[in-house]
Amino acid sequence: MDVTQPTLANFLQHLRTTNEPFILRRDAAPPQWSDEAWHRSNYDQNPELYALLAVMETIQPWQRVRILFQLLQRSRKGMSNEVRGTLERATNLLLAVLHPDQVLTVFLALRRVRANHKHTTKAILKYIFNHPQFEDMASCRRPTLMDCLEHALGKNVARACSKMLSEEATVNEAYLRRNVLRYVRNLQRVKFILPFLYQQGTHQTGNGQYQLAHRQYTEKFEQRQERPKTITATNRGDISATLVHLYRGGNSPDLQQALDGYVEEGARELPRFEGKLALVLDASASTRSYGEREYCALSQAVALQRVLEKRCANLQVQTVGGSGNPPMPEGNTDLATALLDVLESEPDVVAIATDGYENVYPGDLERVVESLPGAGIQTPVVFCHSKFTSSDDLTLRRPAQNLPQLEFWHQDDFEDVLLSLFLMANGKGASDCLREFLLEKLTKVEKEVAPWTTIN
Amino acid sequence: MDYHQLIPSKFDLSTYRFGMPQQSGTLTVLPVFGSNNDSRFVAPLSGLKLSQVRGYGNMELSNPAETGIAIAPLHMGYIQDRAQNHALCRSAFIAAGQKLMFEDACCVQAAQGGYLEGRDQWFFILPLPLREEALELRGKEDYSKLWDAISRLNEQFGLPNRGHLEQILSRKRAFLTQYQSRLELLPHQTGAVFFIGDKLAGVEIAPSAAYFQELWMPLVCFCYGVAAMYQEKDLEVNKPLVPFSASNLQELREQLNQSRLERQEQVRNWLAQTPAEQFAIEEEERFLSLRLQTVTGKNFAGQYVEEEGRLLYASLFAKPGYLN
Repeated sequence: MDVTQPTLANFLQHLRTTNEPFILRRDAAPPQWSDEAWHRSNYDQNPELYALLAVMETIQPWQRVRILFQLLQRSRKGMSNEVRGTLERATNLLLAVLHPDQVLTVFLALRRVRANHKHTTKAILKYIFNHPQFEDMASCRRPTLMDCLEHALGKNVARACSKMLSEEATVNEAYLRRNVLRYVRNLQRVKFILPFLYQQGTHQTGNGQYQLAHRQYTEKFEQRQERPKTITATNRGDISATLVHLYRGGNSPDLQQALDGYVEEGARELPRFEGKLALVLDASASTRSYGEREYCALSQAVALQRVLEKRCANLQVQTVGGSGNPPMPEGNTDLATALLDVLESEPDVVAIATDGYENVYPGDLERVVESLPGAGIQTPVVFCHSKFTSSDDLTLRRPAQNLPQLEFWHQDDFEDVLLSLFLMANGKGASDCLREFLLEKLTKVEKEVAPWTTIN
Repeated sequence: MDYHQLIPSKFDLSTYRFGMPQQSGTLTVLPVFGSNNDSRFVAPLSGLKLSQVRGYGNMELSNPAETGIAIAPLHMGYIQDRAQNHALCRSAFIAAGQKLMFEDACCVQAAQGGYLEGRDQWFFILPLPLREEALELRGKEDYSKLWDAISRLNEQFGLPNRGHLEQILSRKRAFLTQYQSRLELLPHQTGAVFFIGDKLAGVEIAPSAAYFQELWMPLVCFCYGVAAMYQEKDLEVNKPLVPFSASNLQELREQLNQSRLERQEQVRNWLAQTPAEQFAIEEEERFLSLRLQTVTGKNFAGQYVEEEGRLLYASLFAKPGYLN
């Protein structure tokens, strides 16, 4: 359960939390990125799964840049057509949603490391020639585009094509088609702009419009999640909102029926797990909270339980404190005993969903976790914080620093929580579950975003 | 566990049970369960109303219920925006339908104009370090009588040296209110024994679970929580993590239970090591067969309500000199 181990779960967490830039200096040095080895090894282990991670909304922007670079730098030799297809789709999505300057940085970095596989060339040429703001980009980033094109085509070929298109040289249709035109959608535009790039003494006329080309895609890509500015008890997802009403005493067949419907709907798009998951559900008195947050932490934890019930083949729930369905918040917080209870049944992974206040006794959970390897228990245990908002102060709510920590406050966070939990259960078909889930997600995102890079 | 010697009369306390201690930071709570869950008394938040403040230092409480006696919790106070916050120096009986003017209330916010409005609102219990002085000043009609003590307390926290209690209760509210989550009220709980570090800091007994439920947050957050927060501010929580030596799950469970028994024994020792007190007892008020008494000892003081030798309400607290 060492969070520094290079597991897929830890890599995913790294992609979500680390946003260091991908640096390409003006000298001839290759790009600098401190986690290069980690990206490389994950690509080596499973390039398809690696590429699919780019589909997740919650990964950091600079990590997407790294993934694009890795996908274009590395060879696809020996891969099946199916895997190549997935890598191609992930590349196209990334090219559309990343800032054009970041894409050009990746292209220049590919030149530095002399990566010129067929798929690399194809990606560079298709991106530049078919960019919605090609004219503007050509004007603003002329030297960069020349460098990228000359890397993709070869200097002599690029210049020869330019001359042919400007009719300074004899036109060889077959040559032009083989090298340039087969990547081009709008022939007239390229005929005009490519020679323009090589024209001496031209002044910049572009206004930087090309830098906005990705906006419409990123907005769609990122706005799939509801993130209210003012958080209330009832705008943290439909499941918890309905549970809050039930807790407040509004028990009615309508609410119960609605709850079942929301759980069904919410769980439908979440990953599945075929292994055995144990959930320690903290329903102690503190999970009731008070004021505007009353019942919120508990409702979201119960919402997590409900979707897990739908997506896990084998789920065991151990409630701490209160009882009932949903459990009423009551009693003290003895997380250590509950953890020992669920470990008896040898689950593949244990999740502790709690508000983080442990009072019987503080430090017991941490000490028990520390003792598990000695007691012959290797089961991964994950601490899942149920919060009211994303910015809750958890200073006094981290009773076991030696556990991997996940956080959730909105129903939209469940996807990340479930994926992380399932991936923690190493070797239990977790990567198959992740692949299946992310492939479905890619198809869905492609439909919603409709990136220009996929139109042939 | 035995705290009989701390209760300054020959009460029959055999009916009280103790729960498993809870601990968070420097504050430890031993839950108390009374078998006599007396429902004659209205709870302090839902039953007692602040009806008006008539001039500084005069605070009127009412018990609008048709039946049920109110015992005003010792050292309860109210905070409102744009009005001078007040607290009581003593407990009192308020019969159903009765209004009671406390002319010996104290302002806990120097140099703030305006009077508290009568309305439903949360109340606090005076922070533990102020309670000894507040109790001594009961009966004295001087609205500014607690300002010096509040100033000294603010100084301890590194806050501006002035008689404004809200500097602690409002500005530190986010931290203080966490105590009600860090330490959890249990079902049917009617009281609690509080420890700060290894010293007994207070014994709080209510006549019913419903009463104690409403008293819990003001007590744990604002009374004992403030004292614990002061201790915690310099506390370095960096104990080495020593795993159990268990080689299987069963052994681990046994060793965990053993360590918990040891901790309970430790709490028992804290209680046993509390010096026995010789209390001076002074009757304050009667209501039918109920008696409100003030007790003062070397290390502890407080008030309690009894009825023919049966303890109904108690708020006994450690004096600052004992805890420091």
